[in-house]
Amino acid sequence: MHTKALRYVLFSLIALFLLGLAWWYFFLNARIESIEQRDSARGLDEPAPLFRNTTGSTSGNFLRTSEGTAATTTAETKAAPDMWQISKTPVAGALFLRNGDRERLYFAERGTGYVFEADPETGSIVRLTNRLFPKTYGAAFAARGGVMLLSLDESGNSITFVGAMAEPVATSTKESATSTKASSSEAPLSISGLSLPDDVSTLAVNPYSRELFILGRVASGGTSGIRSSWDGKKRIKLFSSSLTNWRPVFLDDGRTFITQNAADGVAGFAYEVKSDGTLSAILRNIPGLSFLPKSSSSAHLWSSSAGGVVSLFARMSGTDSTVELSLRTFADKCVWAPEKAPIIYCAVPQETPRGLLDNWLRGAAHTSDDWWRVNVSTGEVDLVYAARANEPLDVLDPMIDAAGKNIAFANTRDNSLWNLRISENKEDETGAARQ
Amino acid sequence: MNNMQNWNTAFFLLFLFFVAPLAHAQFLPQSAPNLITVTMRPEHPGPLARIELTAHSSSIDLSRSELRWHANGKLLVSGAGATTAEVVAGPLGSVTSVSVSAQDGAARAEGSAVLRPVELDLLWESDSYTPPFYRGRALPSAGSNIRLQAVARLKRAGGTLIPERDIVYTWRRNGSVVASASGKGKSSATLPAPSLFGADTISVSAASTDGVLEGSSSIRIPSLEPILFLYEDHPIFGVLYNRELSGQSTVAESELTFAAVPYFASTESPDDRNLKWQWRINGREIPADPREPSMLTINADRSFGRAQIDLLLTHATNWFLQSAGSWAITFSPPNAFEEQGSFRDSP
Repeated sequence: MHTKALRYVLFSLIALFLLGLAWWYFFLNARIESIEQRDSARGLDEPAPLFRNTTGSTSGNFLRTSEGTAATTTAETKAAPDMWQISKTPVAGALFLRNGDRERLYFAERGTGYVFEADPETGSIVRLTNRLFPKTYGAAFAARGGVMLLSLDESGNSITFVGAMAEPVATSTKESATSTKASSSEAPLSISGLSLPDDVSTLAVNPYSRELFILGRVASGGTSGIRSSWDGKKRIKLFSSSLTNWRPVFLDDGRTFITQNAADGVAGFAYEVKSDGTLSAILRNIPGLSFLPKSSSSAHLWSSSAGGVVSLFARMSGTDSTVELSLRTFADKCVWAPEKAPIIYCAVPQETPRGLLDNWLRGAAHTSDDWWRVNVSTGEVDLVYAARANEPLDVLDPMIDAAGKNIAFANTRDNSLWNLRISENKEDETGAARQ
Repeated sequence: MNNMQNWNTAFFLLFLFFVAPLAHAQFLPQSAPNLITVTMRPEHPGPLARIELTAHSSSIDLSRSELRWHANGKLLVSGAGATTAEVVAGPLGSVTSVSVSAQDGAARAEGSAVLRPVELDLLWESDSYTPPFYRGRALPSAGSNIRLQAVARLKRAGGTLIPERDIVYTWRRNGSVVASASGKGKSSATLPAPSLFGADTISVSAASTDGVLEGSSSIRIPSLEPILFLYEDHPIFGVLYNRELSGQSTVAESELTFAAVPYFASTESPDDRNLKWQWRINGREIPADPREPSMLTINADRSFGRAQIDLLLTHATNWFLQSAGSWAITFSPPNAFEEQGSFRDSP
């Protein structure tokens, strides 16, 4: 009798245990589904990350979200479209550098800090690194695999990581600047480096000389302008200022500039910081100043914004007269063509409402830009690309390759990365753009 | 006899009063050539600046006189009543000597001025709050400070630039000298921002110790009210400063962390303990996270609808700091229940 009762109890316990297991299985499944849906929503309509591929989840997801561009890595040889959305996910920064026979675009993902290499000719995208740098707000690149990544600590102070992706296998000339082991190997590159001291406020890089132009915070207040080696060790103090709202520029030719941060109607100044630390005024007392010097030339471009009126100017040298261009845009949306002729490519907002500069800087207003080419000498202006209503692009910090064939830029609406291929036949492209 | 003496004294006094001044007027031009005063606009010109010169005289009627202006010996302009002339200053370190002469019949007067152009830039910003990587200028609000810097280039005729430490700077606020900020080598200053909705005129002059070279510059700086902006703090990408959440926004999320940014508030951090953040969602007050009071997470799981977010920012000690904002955020998560639910905050 006792044995029979014991058997019933035992069977009941087993049944209860199995029922518990089944409930646990279904509960977990429901939770996973819920988490996937939530993650998908957080990821700007991206599918939830999968941790099941060999190249790493982010890369896999990144490539999957780059529909119409590159579905695979180096095997892809399909030509990229003239206006190519390289990345749908936000990027932290990008730069054209020569690797082997042609230039490629290097960029870092904002969410992970992973570095990618995009080939504007073939449309291929290769992930180069797999070291995680979460929430990377800024990135810059340099010869011989140099990488600079900018993030924030808990207190909101910037953390600057400088390093290299791989050991160099070629000399660092302007012609063969970034030969790394990257694209030839499918294995992700290691990335090693160090964090610069936490006094870095902002910086600019010279990708070819692998130097940094650091604007550092001073304990007593103000800024210290420092030129340093890539690892931040060999430091030369150039200047000091009691102000902090500066933007540095470091040109390929080695010249360094600082410009005051812009605000509509507020006077701004731009200086060249000479090697002896003296400040040579380039532009003085310009309201809403945004400044873009040309490398290996004394030509410079700038914009002003006062009372909502945006104007664009250029000067071929310090002694030449100023030319007011017919385009209404910010110098932040322009890039000098690499050739000696004074050609500028500018993304021009279709509308420049009152207060645009301040609102644009705060992310409270976005523009829809057309691309124009301007010859400063002749005043000739050509439309290169007309904005599409369904694909508005708010251009920031465009960069051009050495051949002058590709312009890469960030769309500040979502920080996605784009590349515009410039047609060699100007007539055709202008006509095509206007259609 | 006494009467005679009185008459003599009276005649002598009359002579002094009426005749002596006439004699003085006749002979003064020859003995005092600076009877003409020359004023310049701008008073302290920069290099290659166009300068308006004006002649003034209290002893000769210049409007009826024949005037001749010269710059470094070269005739600039001449003519009857030519009381003004224009000259372009030379480059930095140059000296331009301007002379003017006037002839009105027998009366003659002369004047001169020396132009030594200097460059003096007056740069400013505020120490008010702006978010990381903001490319715009920090503008002053009540309670914040204005940081000022004068960049002076004073070049002697010999070509040497006077070092900053040897330049005497005089800072003025609304015309009054700020003695504590002024002095030799004091090229920068920190002054309190103007009061709420006020504006101050800040000026600086920079002079060589011998006073030969001098420049000045001034700027009018208004005070603003801090502005509140709301951004998404994305779990993967961080705060999306590139995309402000406008007054009416729809988000395809079931949970969202909001980051409020008090542009131009007099604080170093939005989570400063002196700042008081008052969050309200659909009229209900939500206690702020003591660690990060400028952030708020809303969980709209199992909800679908609009969250009216009202935010008020004040300061514990700075009564002038007050800013408010209001946003209507519609949560539209992919699989939300089709029912109106209440939002749960999770600070």
